[in-house]
Amino acid sequence: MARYIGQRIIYMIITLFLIATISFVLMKLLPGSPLANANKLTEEQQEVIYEKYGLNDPIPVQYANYLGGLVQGDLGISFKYDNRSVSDILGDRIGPSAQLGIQALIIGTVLGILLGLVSAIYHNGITDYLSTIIAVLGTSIPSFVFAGLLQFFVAVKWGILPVATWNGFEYSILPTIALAIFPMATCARFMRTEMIEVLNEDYITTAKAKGLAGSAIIFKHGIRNALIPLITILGPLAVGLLTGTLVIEQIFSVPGIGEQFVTSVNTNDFPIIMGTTMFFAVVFIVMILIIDILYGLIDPRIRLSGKD
Amino acid sequence: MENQKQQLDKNLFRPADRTQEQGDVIARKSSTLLQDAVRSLRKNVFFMISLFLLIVIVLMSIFAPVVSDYTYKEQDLNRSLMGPRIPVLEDISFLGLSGKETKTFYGNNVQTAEMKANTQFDNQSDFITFDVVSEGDGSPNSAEVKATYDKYAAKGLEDEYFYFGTDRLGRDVWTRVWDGTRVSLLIAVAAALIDLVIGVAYGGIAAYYGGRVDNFMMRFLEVIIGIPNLVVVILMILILDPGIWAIIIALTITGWTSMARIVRGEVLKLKGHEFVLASRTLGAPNRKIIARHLIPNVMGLIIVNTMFSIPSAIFFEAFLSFIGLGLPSPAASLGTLINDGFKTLLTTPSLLVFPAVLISIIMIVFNILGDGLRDAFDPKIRK
Amino acid sequence: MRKTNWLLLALVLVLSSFLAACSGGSSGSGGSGGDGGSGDSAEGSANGEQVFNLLIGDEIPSMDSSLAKDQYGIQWTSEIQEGLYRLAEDGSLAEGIATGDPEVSEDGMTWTFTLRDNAEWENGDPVTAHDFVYAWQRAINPDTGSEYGPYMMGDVIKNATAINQGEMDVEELGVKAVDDYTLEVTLDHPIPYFESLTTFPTFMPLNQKFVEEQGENYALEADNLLSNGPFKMTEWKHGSTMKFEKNDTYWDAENVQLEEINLQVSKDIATGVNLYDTGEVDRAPLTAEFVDSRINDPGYVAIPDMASWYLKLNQNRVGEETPLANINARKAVAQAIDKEGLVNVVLNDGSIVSNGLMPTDFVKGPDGTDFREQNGDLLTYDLEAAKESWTKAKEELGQDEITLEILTGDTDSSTQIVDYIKEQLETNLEGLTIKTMQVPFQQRLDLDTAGDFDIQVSGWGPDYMDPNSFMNLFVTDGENNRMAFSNKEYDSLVEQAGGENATNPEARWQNFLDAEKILLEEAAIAPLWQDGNAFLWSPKVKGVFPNPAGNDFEYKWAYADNAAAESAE
Repeated sequence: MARYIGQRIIYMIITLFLIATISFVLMKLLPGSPLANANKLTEEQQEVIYEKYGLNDPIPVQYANYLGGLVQGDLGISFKYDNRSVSDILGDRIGPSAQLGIQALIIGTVLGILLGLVSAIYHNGITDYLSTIIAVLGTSIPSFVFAGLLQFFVAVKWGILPVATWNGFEYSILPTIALAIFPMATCARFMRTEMIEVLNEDYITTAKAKGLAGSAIIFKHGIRNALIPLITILGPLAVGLLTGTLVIEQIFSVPGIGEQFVTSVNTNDFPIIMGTTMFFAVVFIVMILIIDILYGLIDPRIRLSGKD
Repeated sequence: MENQKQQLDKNLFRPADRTQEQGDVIARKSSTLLQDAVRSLRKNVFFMISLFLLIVIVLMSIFAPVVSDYTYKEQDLNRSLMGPRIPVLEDISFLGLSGKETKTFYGNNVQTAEMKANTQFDNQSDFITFDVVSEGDGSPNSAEVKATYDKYAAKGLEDEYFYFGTDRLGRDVWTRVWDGTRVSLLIAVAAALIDLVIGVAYGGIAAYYGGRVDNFMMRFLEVIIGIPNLVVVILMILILDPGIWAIIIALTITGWTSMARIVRGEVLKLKGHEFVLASRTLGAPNRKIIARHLIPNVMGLIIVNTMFSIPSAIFFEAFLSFIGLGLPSPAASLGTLINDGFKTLLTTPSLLVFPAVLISIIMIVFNILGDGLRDAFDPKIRK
Repeated sequence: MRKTNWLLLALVLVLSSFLAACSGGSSGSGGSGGDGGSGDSAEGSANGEQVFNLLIGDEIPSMDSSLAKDQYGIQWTSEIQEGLYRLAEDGSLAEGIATGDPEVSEDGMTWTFTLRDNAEWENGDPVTAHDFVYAWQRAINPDTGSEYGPYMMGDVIKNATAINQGEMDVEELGVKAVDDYTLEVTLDHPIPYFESLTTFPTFMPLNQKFVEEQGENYALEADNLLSNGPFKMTEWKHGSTMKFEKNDTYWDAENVQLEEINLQVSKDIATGVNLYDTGEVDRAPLTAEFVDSRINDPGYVAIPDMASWYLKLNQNRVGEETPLANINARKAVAQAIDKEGLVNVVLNDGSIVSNGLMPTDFVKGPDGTDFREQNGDLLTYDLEAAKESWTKAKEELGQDEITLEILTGDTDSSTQIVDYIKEQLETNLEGLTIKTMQVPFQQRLDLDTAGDFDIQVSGWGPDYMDPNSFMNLFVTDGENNRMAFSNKEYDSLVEQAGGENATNPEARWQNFLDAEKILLEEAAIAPLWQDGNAFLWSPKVKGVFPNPAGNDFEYKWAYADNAAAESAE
């Protein structure tokens, strides 16, 4: 196992290097000036400012500087937020995003799994239809419409929770719910499909034949096997949450990374865009690694084939 | 007995030309997987209803804009923000489809409340009817008046029917919604199909061959996934003219990865199953094992995942609109319509309600169709 | 992108002549000022808790006055710092660190300011002329990388451009401290409106010792700032909340009534409205959708903005002549758009129709007449004339079908605006096809610089209060021209106004009037509208002056009238 992980980490570094290179190339291809007032300045005046950010250097030099910085964990200085380092900006914003993402992921998956289980166990029953409808609505209603409805009813009409902004736990409840709907619905549907399939497997029939209690079958054999494919979608769901928060973050005025990313894309703040890209890439790759390891732990067959 | 036997010429008989295998043939025509599936689908009521709805929606999205009196981009500021009005249904008051606006106003007395209603409703006092709920006693906001404004009459549009109302620029929402539905369906289906083809091929190959191939392919996949979609999309929109194809390509360039990962995971699992081992032992070629054993067994998962990529494609399109990278105006898609409607959620909810309801119906329909298909293709689940 | 980097002016407040400079002690208006454009003339007084809770549309990019480059940076550096003068009610100038009027040499080139000796930095250091010299040199220094430095000082202060290009040492900048309290400025050429420039953050003083001590960290956090203005920043949660408190060491602290301003970042309009409704903020901006339903709200206010919006009609796109090189084609486009509908239905936020370049109520001539009023409507909506010009243009160009690309921002309101313009032009001008090109703001700037568009929806808000801030936009090869408009007469009029007539207000004024006439006779641009800003504005927020240039609002004289808020409920 240790060798396997070591090998994976080497691959991770190669992957990160490739992503850094690709994102650098993409940035260089993006149109637009990084200056907020380009229309007020002569070309000579613009050159002076580019000089400060090293944008007048030849591209290979810029690339080398960028990679050199990355190795030292230096993501550069933002264009828009004068003199503020990208690491600082991301550091300021990771907290709210992570909190929202983790809360939503936990709530979403736990509820989703329960909903999916209930659906599968009472397959084709009324409970199944009800939870399917909930799941379908969850995937159908765009999260920002849902967020708007929550805000309008729960906060404005009934005044139960704060409308928006970020000043404590109670401020995170509505955005978490709005964010959790999609993973919940996705998990529920996946869990249902998998569970139904698992319940039709031979070993379940065997277990039934041996006279095992229904609950024991479901918990000992069913869930464990049905969870495996679910793990594969957890990674993308988690990263989706991280990036997907940006709409929710905007609606609820949460100072997170996603919201910053969109702002930076619109203002051509290259260092922040690249820094965030690298950040997302690291999070994602680490997550995939963890999932693959989990995958191996849960299903021995995959561990075996993964080794050879 | 013996005589009779001799009477029959031996030449009349021929040896039965029958081998052992032929004896095993089942006389009834065997049904293919597809025929089998169709038969079971016909019995599925929800599936048939959904299929019917989908056909209706597709037909509407093609023909409704053509038949409509208005076009998706024709403007007239005189008819800005008209309420929805549908013939026949306009007479059923609680549906709110009469094109009239009703709002409650408060004031110190009835007069001030009515005055407020007047300013709110373009000062068209001739077309406002009042319904005094509470006379008020002179204290602030004690009087309550329900005012109903017949905007169609006020604007001289008694003969017009905007089924879903109009937007700020006076464009017919009915036409725009169906037009947008067509665009959204096109984007979503195209994206889902491309995802399917690339994802299944990629995931299947990676998992089946395993080892170094798998490792290499998965590393490549991680690189692709590691780049946030947004950056790719912006690049695509830069290279291509902003429009439907830019969005489809942008969606698929990263969208197929989840399908590939899921297919890979499932195939890895199946590879360990006995029937694959058996087939391999019997010397079946790779092609055959993939086509005969693996693909049919991952079919359910593929279909479910495709049914997921349709809503997620529509979501992503709406998301792009949200950050200003969607379809260029005045073209509409359900995403842009919902996005615009969201801005007016608190003021003109009808602009959000119609496209949102329609998108939900489309999703539900696709989900039920997906479920039905999966059940039908997967013999294990069939009842 | 509708950047309201710009100026606001209360509809009810009539702009008094800003050229009349400051009158000593005008800051005495504190406490009894207007009610911040709420349209209600009832006078109130400060009572209850002196706290405002306001929204801010985005994180403040920079609190460094040399680097501030957007509306938020300009707004809040102006509150924590003070330059020579400060914008006060009606856009007039109030005394800041300078006392009395400056002494101007006869040729208009040398300005001498006398500074007050009782102004202090938060740390107890006196505010001296050296602080100004340091700050100005820093702003123009190429190493600083300031955007507004070269823009505000280049060709204004002697040697500024050469220093910025690295051709001269910063010491050579035309500013020197004669003694601790006398500042002498040498200009590049006579600039009659120089005083009004000095209210801008770029010209604010900096405490050299403090700034150098902080080094790279200067202005990055609330602790790394040093205030000499009415407020100080005490809390800065990036991207989330900010807090400003009254600065007791401010020289005029006795006239500052407000104790605290809390800012909450919210980009979403609906969220802002919800926060206003639940009483968490005292003011929320509105867009057209919300104006419809809130027009009766007691807190509804529409404040005109000095930003002028128009179509830039490009005559030469990247080396190739466009159909708009034809004057009749330009006239047709300029006259074919129903602007009434645009401002009343599409924008619906207090914006008004514009038929010239200069906004209404921005600047007044030597005789007190408003520029816009004097020059009148120069290019109006006229369907008949538009069609006629269009037919002529098509004949002259020998084309029956013409396709033009219109470049615009990608915000929601620009989508509606460009949809409307497209439909108007296509319906009213036969054979014209409009292709829309919506791109993010930064990309638009790039395309604008390259001159890569046929038509562009463009807006301009002035950074200082003088007709020149608008009229120099379209001189041949100007930074903002980029549409191949070139008219010798126009160029010479603008040049005369900045040169030989610089010290002759009447002639200078006439130069600008004539220049605008030429610009619109040539239909170089198609004027569309003058911005308005709609707000839900709590009756308790009083004494906030909207500014025509520089910071959007001035809070020095603001106060909370909580009793007014209660009686309104």
